Formats: sequence, C-alpha cells, structure tokens
Amino acid sequence: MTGGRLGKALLASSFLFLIQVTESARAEDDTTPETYGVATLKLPAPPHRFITANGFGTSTFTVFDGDTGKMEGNISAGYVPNFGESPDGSHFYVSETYWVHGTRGARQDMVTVYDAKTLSAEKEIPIPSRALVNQLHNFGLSLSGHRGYVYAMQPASSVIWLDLKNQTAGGTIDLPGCSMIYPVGDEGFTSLCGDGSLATVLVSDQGKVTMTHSKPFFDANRDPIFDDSISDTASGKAFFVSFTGLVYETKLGATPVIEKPWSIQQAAGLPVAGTGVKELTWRPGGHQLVAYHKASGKLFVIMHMGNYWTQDAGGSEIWVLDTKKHSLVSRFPLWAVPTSGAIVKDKPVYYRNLQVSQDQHPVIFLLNTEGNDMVLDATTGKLLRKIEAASGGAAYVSGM
Amino acid sequence: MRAQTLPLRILQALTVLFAAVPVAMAHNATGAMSPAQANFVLHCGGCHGVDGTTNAEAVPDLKHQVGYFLNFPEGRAYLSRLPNVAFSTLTDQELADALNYMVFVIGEGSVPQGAKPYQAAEVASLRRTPLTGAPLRAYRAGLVERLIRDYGAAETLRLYGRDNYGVGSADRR
Repeated sequence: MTGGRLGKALLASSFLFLIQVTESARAEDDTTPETYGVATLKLPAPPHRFITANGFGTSTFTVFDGDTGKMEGNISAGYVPNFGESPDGSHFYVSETYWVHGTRGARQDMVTVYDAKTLSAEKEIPIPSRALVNQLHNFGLSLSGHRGYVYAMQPASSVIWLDLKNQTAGGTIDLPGCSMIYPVGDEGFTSLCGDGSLATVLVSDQGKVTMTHSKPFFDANRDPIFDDSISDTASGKAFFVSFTGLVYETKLGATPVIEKPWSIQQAAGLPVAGTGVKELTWRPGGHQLVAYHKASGKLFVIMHMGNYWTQDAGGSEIWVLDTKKHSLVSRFPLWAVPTSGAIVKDKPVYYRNLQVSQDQHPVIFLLNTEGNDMVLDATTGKLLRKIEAASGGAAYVSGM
Repeated sequence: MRAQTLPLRILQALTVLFAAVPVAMAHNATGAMSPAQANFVLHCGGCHGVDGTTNAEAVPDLKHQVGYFLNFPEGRAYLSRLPNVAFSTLTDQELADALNYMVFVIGEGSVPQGAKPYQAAEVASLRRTPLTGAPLRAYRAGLVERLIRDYGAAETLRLYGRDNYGVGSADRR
C-alpha cells in the first residue's frame, strides 16, 4: 500500500470513528438514531390502524397506527384515486389515473394491486378512462374480495367490474341515471338513482348482468341522500342518510328492503328538521360524515348547526346514535381549528371526515384539511391523540 | 343523488383535470352570459366543456355535432331523455332553453334545416320517461350509426365510448 492510499484509508477510518463517537454521544443524550430499511406491515392489521387519503388531485394513502400515532407506510397514487382493502387484509387496491408527463401525454387508467404487507405493487389492471369524481363509493369490493367495482362517469353512468381472483377487468355495466357502489354480497352492487330509487345490479360469474330498480323512496330534488352514506357488505345493512337527517335503514340484497326512515334530530329530542333555507338547527354535513360500528349498532354522524343546503359544511359535534332504538347515545363536542385562511377566512374549520374502528374498544378517526388527524375514544369522546398530518381526504379501517 | 354535492365535486375535479381550457370561452363578446348559456355552463359544461368539447372518448363532444340528433324524432327525444338531462333541477322552460342553446349555438353547423326549437311542454313530457332501463351507451351507438348512415352525420360521433382496456392513446386528455 502506498503512502497516499494509506493516508486515504486512515482518513476514511477516522471519519468512521467520528461518526461512531457522535452516534454514541447521541445515544447518551437519549436520542435513538434511526436507520433506514424497508419495514413490513402487520397482518392481520391491528384494529386501530387506519389509512388516510391525502391531498386532492394526485394523492397518497398513508397508513397510521392509531395507538401510537406513528406513520407506518405510504402508497403513492395517481389522480383522484380510490382505495379498497381486501376482506382478508392481504391486498390493497387503488383505482387511479396517470398522464405520462404529469398533466399531459398519454393517459393511463388502472386499478393497482398492492401487497398489504410490503406495499409493493403486484399488478396493474388496465381500465377505461372516465371522468374522475372524488367520492368514497367510487370503488367497492365484494364480500369475498373476488370482485371489484369502479364507478365510471363518462358522463353516462357505468361501473367497470373486476375479476380480482384473476386480476383482470371483466367489463363495463351501464348504470343510467344512478351512481355510486354499495356492494351486495358476492353477487353485485346497489346504487343510488336520481329518480329516488335504488338500482341493484347482479353480475353472474359469466358476466351476465341484471338490473332492477326499487320503488322511489326519496326525493332527489327536495331531500337527497348523501352519496357518502354507509353500508356493511357482510351483513348487507346500509344506512342511507338524507340531507335533512333522515336515516333509511336498508337491507341490501337482490331485492333491497328499505325501512321507514327515522330522524337524527328527533332521536336527540329535537323537532324533525325541515328544508327551510332559514331553518337553523343541527344538521348532518361534511364529506365522510357517517361511520358505523357493527358490533354495537352505533352510528357516528358529523353534525353542525346550519340552515338547509349546508350539507357540505364540516361539523362541530359527533352524534352517536343507537340504530336499534333510534335514540341518541352521546354528543361529542369537537374543537375549532384555526384556518390558514385559504379556504374560509376568519372562520374556524371543522371536521368533514370520520371513521370508526370495528373492535370492542373502538376509536374514532377524525380528519380535517387544516390541522391534525385526531384519535378519539369512541365511547367517551375523549381526545386520545393528535397526529400531525393534514389528511382530509378520507379515512379507511379494516372490516368496513 | 343530486345536484348540490356531486356536480360540485365533479366540477372541482374537472377544474383540476381540464385546467388548461380557457375559461374565457364561456363568455360572449360583451362578457355576459344569457341565462340559457349560464345554465348550460353550470349544468352541462362540467363534463362536456363550456364550449362543448373535452375528451371525446370519455365524454361526447357536442360542438358542431350535437345538432345531428334532431334529424329524427327518436334522436330529438334522446337528448332530453338522458338521465343527466331529465333529472336536472332546471324547470321545463329553463331546460328547453338550455337544450336550445346547446343544439343551435354549440351544435352550430350540425342542425338539420328547419329543425324547431324545444318547447317547455315537449321537454316536460320527454323528461318523464328518462332512459334509465336501456343499455345507454349501446342505445346511443345505434342512434349514431343511423345518423352517419342516413343523414351524413360526422364520423367523429363514433369517438365516444370506445372502451380502452389498455394503455391510452397519445392524445387522451
């Protein structure tokens, strides 16, 4: 070894030594140095794990541990994407769109299949292009997870169905006058229609499609149903919530059974809310404004004080309702979040998205676009933790 | 599903996607819009574009071609029996006026000679039987083939609805 080389080697090792000294000094300061690597997610998912959609336009989906507040993983997605988790928890699905040069060039639409442990992309299933709509029920999975559904507006309504066993697209189903996807077992899906009915579409394994309409049960011009209403694919139980606050419990199936509606406000001892543009009362509002805890039959609804046609406003309270007794269990007041001024000047921004975990000690995940994600005890409403992340898009949990 | 939430979000989405479309196109020379044009822009323009063109494969182009549908009664009825049209919150008169703006202004050059404007009573009757049962895209495709074969309509009407289960073509927006 020449002198020069020896010098370089010594220099290099002294750098190493320096780093080692620094690191041990840090350790003594109680700071644990982090190394990089590829982590894997737990399977099955812990009950308080939640996944948020972030941003508008191009998005990411971020995995959080609700018990520690730690971010566990991140999925990069294309324009106005939608998300689904397979019932066995083994895969995530993202329906998404890309242009090869960002906002121009060839357009590519696909459903990307991710391994839920490693978050590596396993497969891209090409689908036709469609207008992109930022709605929760744009994407649905069947009970077994063998079928997937992508709502497509072109602007005639249709649904692209996927054979997820073989990871291929099955075809496109016309859905004139109806939209959104509430999966029905393994057979098909139900949609909300502009004439106030439900359309139920059954798809055979050979791709044969039959569509039936229920009798109209709501007036889409006077008191529409929130498209972010909620359904549980396993039991077929759905809760369609109207802008005034009527809850239509429905048993989804080949012939859906729609119960007589009950009023959220009446459940709380208030008069049934009407459609007056000057009628100030508590009203449901937001984006992902309803969550359902299956085991207890509790419904969680984001509520605000407002006139009719304020259904997009975020809420300042969560109301917990007993869906069997049609009664109010609790009201959880929320915290006003100061805004950066970009959206509503001088007004606090409230909460537009919530989700609830499905375990015996459930927590609520609450999002707003300005501040933090929040984790609340779903029984007491107590704030358990804040997570610094401006998510705002939507929150997903396993089992719903 | 109505009106107040979904189209707003669609509009937001489209604002992002089609941000390159000049907004000024929506205005006439004086900068003011007629109520019919305003209703077209608010109720139709989100998907179809304020001047009637966006992505011809995903959304039918209306510019210089929507008027062809007035060549026969079924085509004329089709335009106001489309669920998105029939279920609109506009009154019959407003809807007739918006349809006339769409056909005669946006569709300029494709309207058959002597075609009469839509009347409120006609629209009222047609929108009572929306096309919710038919396989809609196939139904349109049938009308389009008749228009091209029998009435010399532009072949670009065929662009819409070509399912692309695969990588997109270079000019898809």
